[in-house]
Amino acid sequence: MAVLKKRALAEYSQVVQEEACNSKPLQLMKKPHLSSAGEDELVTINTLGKIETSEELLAYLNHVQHNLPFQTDDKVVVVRKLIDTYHQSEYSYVRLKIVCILGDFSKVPKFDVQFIINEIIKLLSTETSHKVCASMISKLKKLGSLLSSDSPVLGKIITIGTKLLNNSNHLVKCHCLSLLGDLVNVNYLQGENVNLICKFTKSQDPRVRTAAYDALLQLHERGQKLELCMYSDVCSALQDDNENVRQSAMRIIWVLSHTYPESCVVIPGCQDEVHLVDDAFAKICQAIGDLSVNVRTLAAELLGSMVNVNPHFLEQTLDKKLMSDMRRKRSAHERHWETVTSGEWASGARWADDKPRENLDAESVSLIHSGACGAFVHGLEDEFMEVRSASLDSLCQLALSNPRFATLSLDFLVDMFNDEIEEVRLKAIDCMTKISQLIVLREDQLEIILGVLEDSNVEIREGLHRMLGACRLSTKACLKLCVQALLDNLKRYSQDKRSIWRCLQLLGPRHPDLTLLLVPELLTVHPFFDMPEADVEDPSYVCVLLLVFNAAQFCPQILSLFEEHIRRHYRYLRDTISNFVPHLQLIGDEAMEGQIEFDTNTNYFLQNVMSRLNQPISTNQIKVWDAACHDLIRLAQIDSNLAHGVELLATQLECHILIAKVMNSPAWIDSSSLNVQDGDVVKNLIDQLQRRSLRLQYMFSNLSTEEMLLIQSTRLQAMAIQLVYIVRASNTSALALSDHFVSRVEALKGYGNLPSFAGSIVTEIARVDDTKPGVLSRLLLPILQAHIYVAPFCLPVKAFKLSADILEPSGESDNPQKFLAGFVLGVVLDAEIQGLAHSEYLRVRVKYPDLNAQLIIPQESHLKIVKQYSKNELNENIITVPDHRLRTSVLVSHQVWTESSHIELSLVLDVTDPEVPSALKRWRGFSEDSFIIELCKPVRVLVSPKPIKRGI
Amino acid sequence: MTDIKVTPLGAGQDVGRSCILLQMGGKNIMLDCGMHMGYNDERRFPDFSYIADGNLTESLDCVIISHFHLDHCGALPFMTEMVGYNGPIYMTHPTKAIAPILLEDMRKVAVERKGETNFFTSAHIKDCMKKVIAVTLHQTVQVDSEIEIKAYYAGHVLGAAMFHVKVGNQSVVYTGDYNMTPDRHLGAAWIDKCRPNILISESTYATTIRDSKRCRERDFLKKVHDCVDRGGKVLIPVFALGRAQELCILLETYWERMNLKAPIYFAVGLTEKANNYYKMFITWTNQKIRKTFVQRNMFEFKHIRPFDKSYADTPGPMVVFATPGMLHAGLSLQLFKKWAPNENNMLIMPGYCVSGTVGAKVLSGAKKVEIENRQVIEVKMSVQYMSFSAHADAKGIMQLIQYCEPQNVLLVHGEGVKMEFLKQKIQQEYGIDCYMPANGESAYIPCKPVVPVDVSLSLLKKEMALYDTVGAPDPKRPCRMHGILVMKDNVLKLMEPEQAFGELGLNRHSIRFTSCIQLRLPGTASRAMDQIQLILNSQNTNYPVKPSDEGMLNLESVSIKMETTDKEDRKSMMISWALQDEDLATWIMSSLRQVIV
Repeated sequence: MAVLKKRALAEYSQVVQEEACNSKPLQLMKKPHLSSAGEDELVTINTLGKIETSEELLAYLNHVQHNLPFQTDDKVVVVRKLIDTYHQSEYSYVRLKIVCILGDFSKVPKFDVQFIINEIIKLLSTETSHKVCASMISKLKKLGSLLSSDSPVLGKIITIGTKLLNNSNHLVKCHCLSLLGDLVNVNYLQGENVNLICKFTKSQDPRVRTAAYDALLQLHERGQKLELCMYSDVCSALQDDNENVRQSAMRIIWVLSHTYPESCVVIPGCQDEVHLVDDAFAKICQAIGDLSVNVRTLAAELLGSMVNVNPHFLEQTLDKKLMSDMRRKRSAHERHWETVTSGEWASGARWADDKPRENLDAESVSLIHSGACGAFVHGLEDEFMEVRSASLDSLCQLALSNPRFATLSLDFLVDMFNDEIEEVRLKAIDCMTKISQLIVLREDQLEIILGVLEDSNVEIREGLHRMLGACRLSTKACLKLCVQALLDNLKRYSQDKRSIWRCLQLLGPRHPDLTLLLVPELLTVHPFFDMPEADVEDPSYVCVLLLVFNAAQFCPQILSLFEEHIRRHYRYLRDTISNFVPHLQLIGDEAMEGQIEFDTNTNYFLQNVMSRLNQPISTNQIKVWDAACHDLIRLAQIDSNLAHGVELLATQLECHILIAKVMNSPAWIDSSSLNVQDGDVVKNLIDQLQRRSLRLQYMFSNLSTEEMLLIQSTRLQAMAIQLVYIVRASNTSALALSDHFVSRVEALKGYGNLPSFAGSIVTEIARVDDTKPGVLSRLLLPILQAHIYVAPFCLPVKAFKLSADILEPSGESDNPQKFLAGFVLGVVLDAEIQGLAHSEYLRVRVKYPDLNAQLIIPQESHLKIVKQYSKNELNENIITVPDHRLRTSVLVSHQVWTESSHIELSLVLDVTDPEVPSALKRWRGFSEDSFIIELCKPVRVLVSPKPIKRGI
Repeated sequence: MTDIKVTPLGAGQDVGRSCILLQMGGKNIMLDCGMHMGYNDERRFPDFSYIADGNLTESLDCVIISHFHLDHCGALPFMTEMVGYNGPIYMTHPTKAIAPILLEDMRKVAVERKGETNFFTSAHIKDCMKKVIAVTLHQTVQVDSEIEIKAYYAGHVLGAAMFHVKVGNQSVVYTGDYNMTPDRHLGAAWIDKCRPNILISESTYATTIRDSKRCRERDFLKKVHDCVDRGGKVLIPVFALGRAQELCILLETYWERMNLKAPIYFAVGLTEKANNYYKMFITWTNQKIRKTFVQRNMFEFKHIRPFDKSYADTPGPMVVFATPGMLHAGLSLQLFKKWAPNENNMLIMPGYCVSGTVGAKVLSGAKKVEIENRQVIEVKMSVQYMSFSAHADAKGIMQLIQYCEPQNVLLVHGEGVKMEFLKQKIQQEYGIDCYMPANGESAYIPCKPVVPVDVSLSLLKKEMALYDTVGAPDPKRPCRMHGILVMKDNVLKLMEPEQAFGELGLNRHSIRFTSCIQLRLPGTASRAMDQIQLILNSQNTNYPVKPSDEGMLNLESVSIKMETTDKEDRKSMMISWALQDEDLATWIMSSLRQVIV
């Protein structure tokens, strides 16, 4: 059983550690010169001629390729050697390899590209193998793109590419075309080149045709304007037998439609002219009925960006003429609309409800899609989810630019809520949310949408809550329906509480007038009788209140309807869940309101503190800092607007206080004056300093470069102190630590304008060659001492502090979760994380009653970025840092325990990876959790592992 | 011989008893072998005597069955065991697995319930199935040296396939029944651009364009959900296979999604066996089921349980699937009798009902229905009609035609009047011929005779290299090919001349023409030659002029030589050329004449 547990845990909490990849000696080669990787390549390259078999040669060449770029200067010699080998080799695969290596020389810094190009061109003239030829051309393409656009060599390459187009091999042709597409100079008139490529779109080989179209696309991307006259040819290529050709041709059509949207195209068969963009749109729409999935997907994707198409054509995409036995039939959507407009409801008990109406003239019915007819209807019904979800995206994009189309597409979006694949359903809801600004929901539509609230998937429900929060409802009945459905939802799934609250919070301000009509009903206000007071702890009552309060901001009449107990509830909620409840101007509350209105003067206070901090250094600087730090922490609690920046400042201050304290204690560099107690105090301080500085570095984001450098500098100071302390006061090796320190300093080199401490360290370290710990500490000590009190402080206004909030488990449940000891139990964890810049360090920490702790890497897919549809207006600057939502199931396991016990879940950052050099991973100098930063208070979950009953 | 003859023995301008006889390239192929469900006499089986009296094996080369519905495979045991046919029969794996279950069920009904005699036996079904060769999608099967068949996915029901039959250069695609819109358990029909001579397509919905499937599904689910919510019982009469599975999946996933608790019962005897096959043939289902079956096989229903008669009186909501589909007998009728008087309950008819059955009466809105023994039932339950048919609609048929680009279309399996409309549309919009023969009527479809010629690869490559080196491809430029056409053993071959001569053991002769022109040119012969070379070079760009050692000029096979005559300034120019360069020589002569003479 123990094994089983181990395995269960092992799978989910494994920390994958990448081994530093040492280049391994090649097994194939037994020659001694290859066994050491660091050997001088020039020596090895001289042995090239001595290798006999082609297999060995190939293995050797592989080795050479891996070891590029060479350190030696004689690259030309290497190239010469390689070319000699090339000429001697009769095997095309060896030659191919050599060409690859030659091409890779472009990666070698400062190497003469032209030289290589010339060599390859020389080789190309004698080469017979098509594969090698093709590879050479692709290398030429790569190398050519490194040249400047007016280089004469480039012209040479292009001439060769053009010449080799006549090669009989398709591979060579394809590569030549792609070379032309990449390298032809688009600034000069290069009509003949484009024409040449155009001709190859008629090639008999589909691969060449595809390559030709792709080359044209490439030219377009590089700024060459494609000619309008190729349009009709490209259109006929849509009927090509090869799907790749169809795809590339479709892309060209799309490009043309954006380049020449207004030019006219004659419809074959009649004299009418349409705009090219419309014609192209119709053509791409037709491709939605293509044979190949890939073409269909591409067509669906491309449609979305054709926003300037004629609305008439656009609306056709949602139109599919229905008929039954030659009689015109209404679609379900139309029928629905009719019953709505006629004011009667479908009885639901008629068979022939969808009875076909008028007879159709057989002549007038066209069965194949003419134009854009029904493209989206087909796309959304496609067999493959790729097509469906691409169609959804496009539909949404088009709807955003055309409100009428948005209204039309609504029914189809709603239909997609019922898709069989969850991702598609979710996407449909998201699309709906996006276009919700443009549409007004009817009652019948809303009814269908609200049905989805019963879905058992949280994501779907929350998506829908977001959507409802963003939509517009048409009538009072709609709003009532909506509120009712949300309350039902809350009853069914109580974990949706916050999401529903947020939904209602947004719903209120969008429909203040509709809410006004509903207030008496919702709050059970009666003109004559006092109704019983509802329980303010009841989540559904809170829901109603939130709707009303938020609506009341924009509709003061609502305020007058409030009864005394509601005012009380308002005050209570305003205090407890203030971010959901707006500030209201309640009559009779003036005294209290006055207090809130009063300017808190926090800014003034902050200025005060700052000026104190930046005063010249006094003798009892630590005390000044201490006081300031104290003030700042308190300030952060009071003023939420400034909190993040102030907290950063406070943390920084704390670090510097600790630095000063360490530096002032005599014991820190002198292990000889061994006063055990003093030594412990210093050690403790240094440990604290480490933690503080780590917090400083990882907990804040959205900083300017200067602010970041300041933080880095402080961290560097902390590291320097630790280094010096270890060198001076302990007998452990500090080699790895000093290397790490140096690499940190190196990283800062690139920045100008470094803070004084970091700056002086960088210059000092650049001056010495030797970075042994002893030397380093001698170097550091004077700098450290010079910078004890020097720290310019400024307030990073925009800084954002990382924080996490575990919503579930709430830690309030008294019912233990039972599971068999040794087996795993999944505990649902739902958390919101703000300002997470490094999601790769996020861990879930589980602490067991037996004091074991585990760090679990949450699955990447479980951590989602939450889109903020309406962020608080006050903090516009925050938006750059995304909010995350972690919803995962934490797998816990435990051995038999006599009674139910608590395990603690919390979210932490594990910065061991970036902060601890790999050589030090096992070193005991750090305490176990010194590189773990807690993000929130742990939540306790009651579990009771039960012993397995034997003998069942 | 080049005509293809198609004779429907059933399903010609009719639905049911699909059986189409195909004659092409001297081969006889039978497509489907179904029975008619509406008849109880000999008319229910196709008239095999049309093909041959007695032994069919000699006159038929193979039989192809498209899917397991009885109107496509019902007459198979009769044909093989009672009429006598021992040739190969082809069908897909799921069809081979499920068809015997259905045949057996039908046999039981016919023999044990209706007491028919002279019907095939269980043993017959078994023996018949032994003769079946199962094929896989996209697998090319060589029936004999000439017939080649290939199956394509057709949607419709599990294992339904379209068959591409090829004899020599002629080919026919037979669709069977197919569906171009995907549903909850099957994908859409798919075929590549095989460009057959004839596409034989079903046309059940020749005059219908259907609404989006989603609306119907949503309506269906919402109605069931509402009914269950108010504690009512839902009765869904279904046919045994196909739609039943689709509806099950639909309800199952919905129950899962919405966390519903009301029980769903499934009371379709033989479906349980068939369900096992559905679980096995996952590759034949749609994307969703294929992708998720590793976690959970969608056909392993969590919420759907087998029905027991005693459940009928259990209070509380439930959903029951019961056969038969038209409410004319069996369990579905019993349940209907019990539940009809309660307005909370609901009846959902997912398919078409033949007039005269209880189902049809109820659907047409009758409030009081009389059943078998003069019993009158009051219908208070709500009645819904939901069409979940898995045939291609008119648009789908047109789409399939667009996909495979046939030269002719032949419509079967539909009503004549409706076919007429579709036929007209096909002719109008694709400009191809369309046929719709009635039962027993033969359609002769003329095909252009195609003469295949084998070309040796080396010749092809050589010519292609020539073509490639000339320049960019130009569709307008003709590409000529030089070779020798050899007819040997009834096979035409295009060969390189050398190879052809070698094989035939002939010596190669070539014809050369020689002509002599008298010129008036001063100077020596060699100087005159230089002059001519200059002239040719200036005019001719395509062919290089090569001077040879003996003082001759060569252009391709044209050679020019100069000889001095007695007179000082007169020279005779001899020019000789091979037959293939006639044009070039003519051109040289005319241009030289213009300049010099």
